Amino acid sequence: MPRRKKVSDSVVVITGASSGIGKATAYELAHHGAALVLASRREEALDEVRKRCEERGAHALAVPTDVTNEDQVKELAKRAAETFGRIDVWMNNAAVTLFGKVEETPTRPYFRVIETNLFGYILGARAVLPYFREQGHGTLINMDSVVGSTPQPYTSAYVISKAGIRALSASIRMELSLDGAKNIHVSTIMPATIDTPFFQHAANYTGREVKAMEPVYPPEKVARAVVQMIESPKREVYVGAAGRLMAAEHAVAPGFWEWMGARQVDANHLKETPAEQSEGNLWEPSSRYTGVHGGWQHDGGFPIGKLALAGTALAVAAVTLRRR
Amino acid sequence: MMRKLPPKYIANFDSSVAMVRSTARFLQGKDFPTLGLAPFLKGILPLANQLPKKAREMDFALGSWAESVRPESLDSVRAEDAARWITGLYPEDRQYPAVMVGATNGAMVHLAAALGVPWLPQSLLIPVSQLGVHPDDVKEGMEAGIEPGRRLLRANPDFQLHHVHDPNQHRLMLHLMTAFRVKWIRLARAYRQFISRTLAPGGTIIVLDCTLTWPTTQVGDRHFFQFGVPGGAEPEELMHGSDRVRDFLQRYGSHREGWDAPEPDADRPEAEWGFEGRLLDDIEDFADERGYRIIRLGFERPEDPSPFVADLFRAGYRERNLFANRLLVSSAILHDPWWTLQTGSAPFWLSSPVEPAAGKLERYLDESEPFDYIHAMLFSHGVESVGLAGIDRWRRILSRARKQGSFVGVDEEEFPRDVASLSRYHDELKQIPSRYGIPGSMRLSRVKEFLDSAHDLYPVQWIEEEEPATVG
Repeated sequence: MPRRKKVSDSVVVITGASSGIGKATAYELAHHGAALVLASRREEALDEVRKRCEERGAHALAVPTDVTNEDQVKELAKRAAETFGRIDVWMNNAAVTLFGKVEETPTRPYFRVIETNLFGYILGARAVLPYFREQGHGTLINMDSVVGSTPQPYTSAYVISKAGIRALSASIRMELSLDGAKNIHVSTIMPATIDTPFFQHAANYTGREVKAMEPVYPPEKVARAVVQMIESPKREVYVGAAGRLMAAEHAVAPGFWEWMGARQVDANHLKETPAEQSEGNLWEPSSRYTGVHGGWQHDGGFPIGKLALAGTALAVAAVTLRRR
Repeated sequence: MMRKLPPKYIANFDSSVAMVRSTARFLQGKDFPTLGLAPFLKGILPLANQLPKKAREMDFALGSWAESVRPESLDSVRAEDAARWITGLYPEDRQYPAVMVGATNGAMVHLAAALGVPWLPQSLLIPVSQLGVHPDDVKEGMEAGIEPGRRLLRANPDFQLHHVHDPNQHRLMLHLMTAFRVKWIRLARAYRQFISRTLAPGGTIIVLDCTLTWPTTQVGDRHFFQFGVPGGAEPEELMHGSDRVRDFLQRYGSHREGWDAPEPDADRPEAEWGFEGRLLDDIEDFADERGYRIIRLGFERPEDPSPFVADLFRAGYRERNLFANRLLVSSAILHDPWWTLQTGSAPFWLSSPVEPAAGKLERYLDESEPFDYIHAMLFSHGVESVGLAGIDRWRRILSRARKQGSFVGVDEEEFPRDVASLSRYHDELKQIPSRYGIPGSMRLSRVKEFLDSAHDLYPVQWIEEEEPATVG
């Protein structure tokens, strides 16, 4: 059985660390005593996270970084290695999103999503892998999404980037396997909807207001999954039972799932309330919404999502049985 | 697959044999544990280090003797069988763009691996058992080799014999054996057939042309006697003595204060490393006939190609976005082309861990961008020989690494009597953490481009023979 790695001994780089999952993970790892290198575009917000991590007893370094800038990403890796002597974990996490139909969305914002999410991860991997190769060990954690395996409408740029990230992870794993780099791991984490300010940051070209699709899980749950991946790396892991269920449904009955999933997203991810067109945080980071949470989780809220999932599961079961 | 057993006169610890094995294993996608020998030796060799000093010295002698052939059996040696055994080690499931033939050289073996091509040696060691000749009685040694030499050469018209008697570095083994180094002066039939089968049409024969010579005495047709070997002391010092030679002989309890060697009559290709040019004529005829191109890589001393190969590897790593900050020093037969590339190391090969070789390495480090890591494998020949570079000098070299210098498989207390290093080197190579995988083969033209761009920085010459006439 592979030896469990100690989080407390680890030097961890996190991109997108100024809010949401990145921030929650930074706090969780700080609590475990990891040395942290925090990156995001927002310098002030990032520095705030650094201070909070240090208050929790961790060594932390803030390196303002735009993940679409190759030089800055390389510099991030260099600063981490120079400061702490090595890099044990690199968590690609920075992401943006955009709501809109494929043909109705302006080209540049659409491409920007892919540039940030997919190319940003590629640049991260390319920056850190030489260090991992040289050290002979390291864990690359690619924060993906359940939509990396189960697509959805209105966010095709995001879906494409997340499917690409899943493929990127697998390709790197296979290259490492061929090279006998047994102690270098690549883990893909695929969360379901998480309660972060991500949806407040989203660009929007649908004319409808965006909301988080239920069920919504706390970011701390993802942070705990990151700890598990550091201690005992796995290829892929879903966070949130809804994500696992969606992936299973999609695998069993993809046609039905697309029909059902499309309607579910249309009903539960977008409101009927009109919304102005917005570029969100695609180019300029927002000074607002720097929290861990996005305020999408409501205690005692109506479990629409859960019911919908149960319904889907039943429908899939019925279709499957009818086919036999 | 069954291990292909070599003819019994093939010496496992011969530099040519070890390097052929490592090259062949590399081309099979394998590393080079225990010098390519039976895996059980990995368990046995370390036991030798448990022996007291004298017993371990005896072990060096016995180990060599065990590999030797009786003089009476020398007429059963067949150059062709040896050549066939060598070519049989290489995979034939592909067409090679080039094949190397000629001088034995560790740096060139690393280059062969990078190019993905086989190497066919010109020289081989045949250890011949010999009792009753004291290592310091050089003339007696020469006399004792005349008849066995005749016997060997009578049966092998393709061989030229360089009988080597070195009471300095080979001291321990000389008690029980002597070293016959043979050189092919014609291209063996097995070599021709192998090249015809595996070299791509219009492919290149790279002739490794080490021009190193040594004073020798002719004792018969195709039979030369060489007193001493390179590394540590120059021929002049060995012939005429010095304070350190006197000190050495005293330390080893010799009845002599200096050596009385036969008068040399000419400088000839050095037995182990030098290239005998007579082979080149035959290679040229063969290449003309088959439409192959010939390139000669010329250099004088065994270590001359080492800086060039190290820098070529380093440049290749940089092109692949690697750190290119690791130097792996190999010596004599302690090397491993597979792990060198897997760990992203620039190889710097030394013929033996002696002072001139250490000096070459120091000069290379003086002139190179510093390495973060320097690792060194040191071959132990069992003797505190004249000119041996002591462990402190190697420690100083390792300390030049920016981050970390380390020995690989060396017991610092036991060097140069560290028998276990022959198996330990591989275990410790695996401890080097970096993992880059084996890259695709380098183009031969890349070697030329690199040499050209260096503007005579390296003492290695790329000599292109005339294009063969078009057949038909």
